Amino acid sequence: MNFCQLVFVGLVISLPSRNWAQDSNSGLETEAFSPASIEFFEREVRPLLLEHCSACHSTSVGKVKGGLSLDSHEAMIAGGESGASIVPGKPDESLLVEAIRRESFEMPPEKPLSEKDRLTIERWVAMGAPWPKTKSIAMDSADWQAQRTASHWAWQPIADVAPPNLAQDDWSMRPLDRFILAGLRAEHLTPVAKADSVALLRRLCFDLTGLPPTLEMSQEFKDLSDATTYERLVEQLLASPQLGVRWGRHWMDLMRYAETLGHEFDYPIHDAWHYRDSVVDAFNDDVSYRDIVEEHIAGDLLEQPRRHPISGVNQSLAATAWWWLGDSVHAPVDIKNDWAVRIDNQIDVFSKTFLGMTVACARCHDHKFDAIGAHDYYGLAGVIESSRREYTNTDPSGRIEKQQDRIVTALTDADARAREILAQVSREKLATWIDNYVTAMRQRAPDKRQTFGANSPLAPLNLLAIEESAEFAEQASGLRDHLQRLRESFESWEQQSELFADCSAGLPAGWAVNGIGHRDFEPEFDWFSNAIPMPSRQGIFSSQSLGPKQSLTLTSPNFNVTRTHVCIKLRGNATQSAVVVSNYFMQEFHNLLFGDLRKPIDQPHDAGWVIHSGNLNKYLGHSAYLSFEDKGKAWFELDSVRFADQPPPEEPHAFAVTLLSEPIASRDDLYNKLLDGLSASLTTALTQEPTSVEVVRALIKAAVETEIPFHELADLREDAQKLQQIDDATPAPTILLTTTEGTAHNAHIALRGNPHALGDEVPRGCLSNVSNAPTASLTSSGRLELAESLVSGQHPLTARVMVNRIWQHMMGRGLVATPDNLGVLGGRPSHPELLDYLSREFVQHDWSMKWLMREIALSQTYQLGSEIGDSQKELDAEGRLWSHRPVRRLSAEALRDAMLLTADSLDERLEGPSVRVFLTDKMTGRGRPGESGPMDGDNRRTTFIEVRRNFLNPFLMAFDFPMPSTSVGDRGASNVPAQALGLLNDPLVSILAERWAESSSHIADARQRARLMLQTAYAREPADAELENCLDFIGDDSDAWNELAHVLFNSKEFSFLK
Amino acid sequence: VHFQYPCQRQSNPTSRREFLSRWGVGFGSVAAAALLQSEAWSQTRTGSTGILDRLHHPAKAKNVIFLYMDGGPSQMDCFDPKPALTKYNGQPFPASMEPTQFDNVGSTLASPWNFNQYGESGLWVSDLFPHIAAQADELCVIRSMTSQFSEHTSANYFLHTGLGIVGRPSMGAWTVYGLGTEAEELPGFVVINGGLTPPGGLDNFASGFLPATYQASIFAPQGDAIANLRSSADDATRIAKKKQLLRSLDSGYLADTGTAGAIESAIANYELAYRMQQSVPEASDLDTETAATRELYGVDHANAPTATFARECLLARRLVERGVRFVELTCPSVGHDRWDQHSNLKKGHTDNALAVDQPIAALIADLRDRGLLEETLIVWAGEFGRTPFAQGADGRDHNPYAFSIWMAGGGVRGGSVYGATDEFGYKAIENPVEMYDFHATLLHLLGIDHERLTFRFGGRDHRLTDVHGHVLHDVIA
Repeated sequence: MNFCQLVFVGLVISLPSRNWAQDSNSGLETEAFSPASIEFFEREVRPLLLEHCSACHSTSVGKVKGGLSLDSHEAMIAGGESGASIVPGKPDESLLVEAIRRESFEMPPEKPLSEKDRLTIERWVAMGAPWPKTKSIAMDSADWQAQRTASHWAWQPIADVAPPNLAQDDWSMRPLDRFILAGLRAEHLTPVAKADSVALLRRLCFDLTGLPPTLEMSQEFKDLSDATTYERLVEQLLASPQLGVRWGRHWMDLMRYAETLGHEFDYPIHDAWHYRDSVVDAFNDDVSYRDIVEEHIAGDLLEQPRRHPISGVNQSLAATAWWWLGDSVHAPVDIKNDWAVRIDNQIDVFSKTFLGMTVACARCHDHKFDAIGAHDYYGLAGVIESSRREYTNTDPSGRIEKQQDRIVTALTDADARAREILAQVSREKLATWIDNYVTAMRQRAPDKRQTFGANSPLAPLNLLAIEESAEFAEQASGLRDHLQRLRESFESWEQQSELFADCSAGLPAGWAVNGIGHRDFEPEFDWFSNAIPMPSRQGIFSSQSLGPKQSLTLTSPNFNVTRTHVCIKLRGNATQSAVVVSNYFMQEFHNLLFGDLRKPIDQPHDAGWVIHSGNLNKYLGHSAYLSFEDKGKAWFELDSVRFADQPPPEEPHAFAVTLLSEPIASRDDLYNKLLDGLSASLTTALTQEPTSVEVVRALIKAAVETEIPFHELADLREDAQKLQQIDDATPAPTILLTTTEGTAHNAHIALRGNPHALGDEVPRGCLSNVSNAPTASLTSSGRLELAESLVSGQHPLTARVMVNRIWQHMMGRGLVATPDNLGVLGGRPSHPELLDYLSREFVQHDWSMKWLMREIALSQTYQLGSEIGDSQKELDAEGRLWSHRPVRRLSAEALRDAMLLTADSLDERLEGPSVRVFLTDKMTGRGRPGESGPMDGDNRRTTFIEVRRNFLNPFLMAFDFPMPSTSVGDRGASNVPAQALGLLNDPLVSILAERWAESSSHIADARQRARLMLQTAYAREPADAELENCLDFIGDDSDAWNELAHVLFNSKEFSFLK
Repeated sequence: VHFQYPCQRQSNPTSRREFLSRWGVGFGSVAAAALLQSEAWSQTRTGSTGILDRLHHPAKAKNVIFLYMDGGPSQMDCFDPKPALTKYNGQPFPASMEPTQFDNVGSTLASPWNFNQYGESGLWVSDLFPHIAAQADELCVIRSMTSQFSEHTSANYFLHTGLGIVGRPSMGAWTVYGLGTEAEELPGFVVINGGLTPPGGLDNFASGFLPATYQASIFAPQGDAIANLRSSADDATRIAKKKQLLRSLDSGYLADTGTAGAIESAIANYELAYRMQQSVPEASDLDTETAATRELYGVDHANAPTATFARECLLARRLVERGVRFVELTCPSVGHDRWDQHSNLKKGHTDNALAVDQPIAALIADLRDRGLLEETLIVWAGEFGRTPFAQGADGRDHNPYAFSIWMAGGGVRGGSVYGATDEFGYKAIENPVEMYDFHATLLHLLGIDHERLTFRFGGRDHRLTDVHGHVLHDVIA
């Protein structure tokens, strides 16, 4: 039995819905210990036991080394092979204390406890080893979550703290400086001197925009000692559109942004770049972080979404794409598990990014350390399961809507004419047509005559061509019997089947149209699916009522797959119907194991059945929904959906069945009945009675196909052409990868994370210990409520997490050094009051990220120099207290972008489809794109180069570009030989060096030219010795300028920041 | 099979400071104290020093050569004979079946190859491997290996990193993280890419959350061994002048930053890179090998894939000789599919076996002759096995429920078999081995306790074996 399984035993009894604490048979009474002593245990002792002991001494983890479990007060007294581990009240007689003093046993074996921790445990034993009325150490009472919440800093409300008042403080410039200075003084440290102007200029430029200062900037901002000049620089950079490129990329690290799905074939995530643009623009426009959180989680549900000021793209909607930027496997044998893994990644990214918590750790069991239960994980899983991945067609410019207006007007006109013409088809004309038709048929040999199938309303028409009366009688009777039998057989099938949806009179509840291609407008005629307009069925859902170029997706509510056949009655063309099982979408790329779940729709004339069976059999018991996608060239008209064990038998048409319901006396009898019936249908078709509509459609189709003129309708072709022209002029939609609402439901706890072993249902929600929303009464997915709860201003994590990230990217390290984990195993804030102060101010400044960037940039702390003295070296070598600013290497993107800018090559354009990735010959494997992108990435900033999961850029990777698998809030900054080899020998570096040298080739004077290059590289005046060295290097070799540029790219001053 | 999410394990966290302080001094001028001045992660190294200051227990092996058999060789056609398959050949499979990847289940399919016993141990080997069979007494075959995934990519990630999704460190990265390497001027973890990059891509060889220094360097068996090795200038005088100028610029900056550790380390990296530009071509130059050795491996074999894999094996030996810790070989393309015979089993396995048989046998013999076999662990493994029933008419589908891998050298019990499958070779029934057990054993042979080699990432301690894994003491000599 492994670890997870054992924990599961604990899990079951710790679910909040089970009140096991009430039937605890523990002999220990809570009353035996004071609340204060219990609190001491919870805050000080339990975490120590958990961290240092329980890995080897807890039944909850399956290990009781030496027979000793430290799971409970009793277990400790019961002890192990060496006897009782504690004697309450007597630390000196307690084996446990001996062991941690390392007097007999040496525990923990790897490393002794700190003296403080050891004394804590000794004190606890001396107190009588107080223990609450609970059983297990890891999986204790129902309120373990509350206890953990109470004992960890990050869950506490953000404190209202004022900056400390410091005596003799002529150093601080911004309030935040006072916190830093107070911290330094407490350690008897003084901050180092301010950095010089060159260091500050480069620091600010790279931190805010990810680019080096241009030559012009280094002239203009040569002297930053003047506060006004410095502020002007800060404002200029904050206003630069390049800021969003830098900060958007920071954010994309959290979102594991990529444009392919990885795994075996690295299939594309189409249109992912709209998400990237939405993020870049959000930073540039200083969109409130509150709004950013809301639109990421529920941007599809916002009443006033953010729109791109020029293109009009709905960027709030685009922001919801992040949920789906993970990797994905094709053809998983276990689709439920595959879904669980996808959700796991979504929860991991969501919780690390927005909460700074590792909620995904609670998938198999309650979190081992943090106040996060499995019910929290599955509360979130329910929110995700109730949402869907969909591509949404949008109309950013409003031009599609304008075309829709035009087409509605034109349709209304054309409909009126068509109605009039159809009304003029009199009984006499119909009789003439039948006569002509029969004559025409009789002129053909019997085997050349047109015959209508049993499912056609015109099946009885076959009989009229028969001249010989005995044969007529026999055939008529035969047809009648045949139709009756079909009717019975079909009805029997219908009775055995289950009607899932009748869409013939409007969409049933839970069905949703996504996209822009539909309105509450139903033309009376179908002008587009046939050469001649035909009456259209009213009420039925049609995807092309506003023209074929309109696009949309229609989806059903979720259902449980219980039968082996999903039978869909519809008309349509050039598209597919899909059964989406467990939100699995990869069948778009690969049919394996899912072949029958997507079926072509190819029946433009008569309604018929599309049947999903075969592989569907594998998914009995799974949750699924139906999806019909009309990408703009296709259309469908949905009648009904039935679930059955068998495919439907042939269905005779009701009109024919009724017509032949009584025995046919003679040919004349049939002729009259048919004429009556068709004539009546022509009248009632205009009121859109469904059967009559089908009869008239069949009649018109027959007229066209048999080349027998039905003159009255042919005149409408002109109207049809006009409508077609309007449709042709309709622009294509902008397609966004989005999240939409699915069928709201709660998830069940998957025991041990196993999706095939379900435990209790849990209401949708998130982190029940700090959030009161959402609740079980929700009828939606709960995403909007979730978003609102995070940005209410009361949530302890949302603001802290983001403030810490911004601090980290400005200052090189967060106030909490683990930006994605503020939990027990994460770092503790170096300056907790400062974090709270800034978090409060951040919220009060409308969650403005640029406000915080400015606040930091203008501080003394930000402007500290890098050179340190002895006291800083001794007490703050790593700069944790910010006595100085450690030297930093440029990020992968900043390095590449800096080379481009220096080489006068950078294309600063924002937005748009990504530049294809450059492929070296070492980048091999399945899914390799057929064509490589340009080596220089079209000179675009690195943020705009495609991220293909299986073909990540090796140059960037060497400089810690993260693998897009989960949130990476802190890339680290490695220092490896591959970086040297890359800068020395990568062809891109050589090419850019050549370009750079070329850009100054017009300067004839070598000294002047070398000076310019050094100025460009370092944003400062070169020292004489440097200049001389460079000139010596050049000598009289005019080819050496490329090499000089190459050396400068490789110099540390180029790639590091003070 | 169910995906298991990594659970945390409590252990004493190793702080960066602690870690760095254990790294010793790799370069004359770079004192450990200087390293500590910066937060910069993994300051200088090719990884020549690992995190462990001493082994957890005496090691059986120093190095690993991992022969990755991409696609999933068929156990009952290689090292696990199953006469029952012949008996039921062409008949419906007589036992119950799990869902398969391609869901195209045919009849029971006998092995097209004969099996014979070899060596003093009498180890069973099929006719696919005449050369390896001659080394039978060196092989320790595990017949009861299992995986959790029926799909290549997940199974590859699982085999390489212990988790079925992308993003975790490869076992080679873990090994070098723990032990470092003895090759001062070569990377510690090398993948020799014979041409077939496994499904899931180069991510199989990544360092995940471990510092980038531990990721595999991808070598080619021909031409330039690694990317960006060849100097962009080819004039020696000019190269020397460039180095000189760079050194002078950098020393000025170093002084200007108050001898910042990060700068010092970056400068040291350049010195190392220059040396690698010499040492890597030297290590990968097979022309210095004798004709006899080249012939033994099949470097000039008429079958091109065999010649490619021969170069890989020979290069692997040269790297191990020079102290490279972990070498992984990927398969050459045989013109159709990797060991992934969904159809045409006979031709596919014949061609794949032909490519690797002679070179692998040569590698074993050559290492033994040089006294290196006992300190070099050779592992031969795919990501899963294949079904005993046909896919379609003449293929076999993926099978994670049992497959055969073997180890040789490096302290394993040669000429032995561990574990057993059912009478069809479908499922492991005796001593089933989980991937975690394999990883635990691999680390154990190298002197590492798999439970004690941890790295803190995202606020928790990770291991190669997550919370699982038992050392297979029975396979150890």
